[in-house]
Amino acid sequence: MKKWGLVLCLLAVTFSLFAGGAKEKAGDDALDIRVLVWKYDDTYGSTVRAAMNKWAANYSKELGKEIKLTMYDAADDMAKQIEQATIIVGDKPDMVIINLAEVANGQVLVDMFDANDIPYLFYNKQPAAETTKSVLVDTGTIFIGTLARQAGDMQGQILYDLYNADKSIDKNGDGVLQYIMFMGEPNNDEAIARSRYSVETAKSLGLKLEAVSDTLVCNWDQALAQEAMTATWASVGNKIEVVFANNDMMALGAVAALNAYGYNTGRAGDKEVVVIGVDAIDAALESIKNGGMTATVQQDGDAMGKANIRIAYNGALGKEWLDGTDYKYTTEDEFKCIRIPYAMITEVK
Amino acid sequence: MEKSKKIGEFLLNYALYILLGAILVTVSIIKPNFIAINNILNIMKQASTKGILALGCAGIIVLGGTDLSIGRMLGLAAAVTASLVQSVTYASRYYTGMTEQLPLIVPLLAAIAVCVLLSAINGFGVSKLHMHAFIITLGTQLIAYGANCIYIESQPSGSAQALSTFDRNFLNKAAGNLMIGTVRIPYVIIYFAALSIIMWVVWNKTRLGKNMFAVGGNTEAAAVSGVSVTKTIMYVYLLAGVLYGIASFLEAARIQSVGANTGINYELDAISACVIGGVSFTGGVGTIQGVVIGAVILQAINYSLYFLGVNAYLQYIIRGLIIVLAVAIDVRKYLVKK
Amino acid sequence: MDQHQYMLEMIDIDKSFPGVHALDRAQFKLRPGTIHSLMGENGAGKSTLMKCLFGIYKKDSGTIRIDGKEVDFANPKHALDNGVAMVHQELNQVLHRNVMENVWLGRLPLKKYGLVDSKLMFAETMETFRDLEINISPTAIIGTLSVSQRQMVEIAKAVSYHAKILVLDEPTSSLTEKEVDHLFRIIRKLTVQGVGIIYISHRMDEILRISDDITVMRDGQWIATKPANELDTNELIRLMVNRDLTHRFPGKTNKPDGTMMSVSHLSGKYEPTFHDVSFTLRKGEILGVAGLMGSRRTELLNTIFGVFTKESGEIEVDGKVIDITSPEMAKRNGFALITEERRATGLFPLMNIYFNTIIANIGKYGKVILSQRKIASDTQSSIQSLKVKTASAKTAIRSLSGGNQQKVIIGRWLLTKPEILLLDEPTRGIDVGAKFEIYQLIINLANEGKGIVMVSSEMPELLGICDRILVMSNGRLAGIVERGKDFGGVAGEQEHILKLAGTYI
Repeated sequence: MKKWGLVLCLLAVTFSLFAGGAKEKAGDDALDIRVLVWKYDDTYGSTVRAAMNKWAANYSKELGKEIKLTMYDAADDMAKQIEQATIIVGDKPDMVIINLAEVANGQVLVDMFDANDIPYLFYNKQPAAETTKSVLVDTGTIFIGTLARQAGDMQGQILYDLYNADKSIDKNGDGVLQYIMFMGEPNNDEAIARSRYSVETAKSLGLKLEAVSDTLVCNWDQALAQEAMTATWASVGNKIEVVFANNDMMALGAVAALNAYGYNTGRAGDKEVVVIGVDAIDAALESIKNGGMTATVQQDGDAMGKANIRIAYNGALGKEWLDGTDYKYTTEDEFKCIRIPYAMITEVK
Repeated sequence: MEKSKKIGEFLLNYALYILLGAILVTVSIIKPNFIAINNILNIMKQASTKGILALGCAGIIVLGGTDLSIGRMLGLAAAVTASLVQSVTYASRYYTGMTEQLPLIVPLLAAIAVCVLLSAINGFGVSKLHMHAFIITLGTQLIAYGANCIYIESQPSGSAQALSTFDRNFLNKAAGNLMIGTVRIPYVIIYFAALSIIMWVVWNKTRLGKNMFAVGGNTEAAAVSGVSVTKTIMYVYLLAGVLYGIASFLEAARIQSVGANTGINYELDAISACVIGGVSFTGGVGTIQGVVIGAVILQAINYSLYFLGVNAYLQYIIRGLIIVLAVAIDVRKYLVKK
Repeated sequence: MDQHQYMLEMIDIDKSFPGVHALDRAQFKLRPGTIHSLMGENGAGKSTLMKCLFGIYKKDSGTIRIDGKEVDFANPKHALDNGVAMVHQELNQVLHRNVMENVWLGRLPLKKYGLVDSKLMFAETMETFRDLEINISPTAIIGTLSVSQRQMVEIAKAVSYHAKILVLDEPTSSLTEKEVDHLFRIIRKLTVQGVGIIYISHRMDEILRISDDITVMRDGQWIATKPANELDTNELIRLMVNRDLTHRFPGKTNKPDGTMMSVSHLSGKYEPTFHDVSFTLRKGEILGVAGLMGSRRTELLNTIFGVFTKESGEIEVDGKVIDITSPEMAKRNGFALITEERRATGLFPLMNIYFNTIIANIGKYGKVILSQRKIASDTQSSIQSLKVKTASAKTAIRSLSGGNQQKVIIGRWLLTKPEILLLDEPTRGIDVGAKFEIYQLIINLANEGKGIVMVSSEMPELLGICDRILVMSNGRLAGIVERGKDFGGVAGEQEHILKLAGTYI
């Protein structure tokens, strides 16, 4: 019995220590901003989180008002995110930044925050099309995102540029580029757009493309992509000239598999196929530098984190979203929206 | 009558091998270029790391437990490995103070230490606190995941991204190939084979192995025969930890970059391999041969489906069906007809 | 005699469990080279006392001395290392492993590099088995052996420790008369070598036959220790239950009349099984089934009840042929089966008496929501009519004595209103007083016109309450003994049954 008492005491002390760390009282005039994150172990999301922390500190100094960020990990579970929102509502923060765990479920959160007069914005994951009116238009909130198809467009553009610069990437010289596609998830808007527009854009620019294998769905995962690539290469490898991947992790998996076949090793004289990813994560940049991946498209996590904080700052003070910033609303959307542009990266020094 | 019975028994006893053969033959018929030493080696190679994990968790399943923490444990240990084998010329490496490549034994021992420590928590919970393995390993799974996230996010570069850019020597030793003539035999297959043999000896020729089966088969009987149940359980978990550590080290080399979600769901593959290979969830039954063949079958299915370019959703269905089929056949061996 | 007149002395042993004072200053003294039986009803504390000796339980107070030196074993290993071995009442074996590994469990011999020496293990197991005249392969998987073979393996294992003191806790509960004789030869041989044997059993005649000394316990207390030749059955029972019990069997009052079931040419499907068994059962009859271990008596009952698969043959009840393929069907046709291994196939040990009483008949209490009121009243009337001794119907059944557990299970099946009861060793592991009550219950059921088929390994009880006795031998029907005809009394009948039991071996 005594032992358990001791354990309980220890637990209590530990919790109070951690709680103290998290809920550091930062003066009454600090802006209390909460961030609902869909999933911590998402590489791009991690970059955005790191950027938000950085820019919260920067803007605290620059704008002369302290910004206190508290983040929540929903671990890709909408039910958990709703629980977190319930707790947040009780604390009456100044602003909530939302990265939806499930794009179709925006309404639940919107209702909770509206009922308590807590302002909020959405970033990264755009609420599902069928909820656009009630979640985005009617509430007057803002969505900070990227244009899903833009990443795909740029992948196509990169391939077009590569081909024009060096026709030898068409290894069999038949004037058609044989490719395979690594797709993130089946029902993910971004995955669908990237898979579709990478190919369509390249075709619209005048390239001839041909898929040599069914789309490989690898859940954004490197290990899965590596296994899929190993097997696919064994089967139709002699035909593959181009590898498109919805993200860099899968592209890196493909490169690791290719390395085992003596391709894309970066060593002089070794053969290569074109591998194009998305995200521009550090490992991908390093790979491009070392002759593994060919190119990637940068989803600018830092810029998105910066925009999140700057715009949330306005929201928390009740100002117009873009007041005092250089951001411009998009014209093609029926709701308030800004899109952080992508960038093409084909070379890393 | 007698003859058909014997054939039936033979089919049952070798069902797993027959299933594996059937998969390979079917694929070869559909796509004849499947018949290549290269494909076999690829399957073996992919089966190797998960096979090593399965060798570890098989003992825990024989004890009547299970291990849900494998994947996240591997994630953490692989991250530790990764941080210690990053190329010293890589600017945003984890340990910027590291100016010379460490001997490979250091990251290997570090990975083993991480897994042994976590596995020891599991073993302690099961043997001393009498918790069900399902619960305690669920707990360590979360602990390992949290620790992994903290570790990866405390990179000095401020980045929260996957650790990558490893030392060439590490990649060569852990994920390289042995050239025999023109055939490249991946080292991991050799490691897996060696560990399988060691584990076979442990299971069949040592006191620990026999005591493990006794505790798993009938804890009470083991106890009254003077077997230390606590120690046996503890050793099995520690041994599993060692194997997980080795697998983590090798997996880091195989996938070449380690992030927060590295290792996710690996436990399901390891457990599936054991179950397909005839390790009974009720405890006390299982063989190393079975575990090895289970791991190979699992990867053979995955590989074949990709090789054939089967539609992604259909792949899930086929995989599920084959697992169910394999286990359904295997249980029949232990069913006593009445 | 020298100062070590006793090789083992247990003095004033006290042991309490929450709510139970299991041992109350218990005493036990064992002379070298003797067989000392420990008797008492279930719950008298015999097993608890032995578990305190063997280090499974820790005694609260008291002294244990071996050869005059005080000992207190912390665990079974400690006890084994110090020359005390024990055959446990429960067959504690690892079913999926082979015989020799079970025998050597906890002390597997090693050769170089820490590897287990299987050759040595095999040789030594063979030698032990040869000494004991046991004919079992050391590499056979335990789970494939019969219960009696498994019991012999356990005995051999205990002997192989070369212990000075050997505790046998109900070693004969699944042995046939012949095997018991074999066991007795073994332990007599051991006593000659100076081994002291502590023998626990419920079989009165056995105890009187084999023992040098007998100690009787009751309610955790020492009652008496006497040389066996000064005691007889009645005196022993008086000491055990603290009342006179002159009759071991109640008077037979049932009157069999008219055939209710006839079984013809019945064979089981999956080996090991029985072949071509035919018999009839009359209304109000108690039909005994005798036979040695392995004569497939249990298989016969289980096949009739639909647990095991039938190969061929017919079962006719009240003139109608019925084809039973599952226990569920058997139940609907008015059959009930009380299984042999109560712990394994009868009890839900952690559940209370309510649950254990109604579980075979659960459909009666409602389609979706069960009527608690009806459950309570049925359980109460079952408890009362069968005289189950329990504090409350909410008590978990595992805390009841064996006899009371058996009564609850019989009560469970009576609620299904069966016409034919199949009883497999209904009094196994049950103490004398409770046995009498079970016999009375069986006779009462026969009086109500129910048909009863009862398998038993205890010859006296078959001869005590059965109207006819069917004898099985090695999976076949060897004959049916009509009581009170042709064999010149009980002794002649017993002899004839034993002869029949060996027919096909």
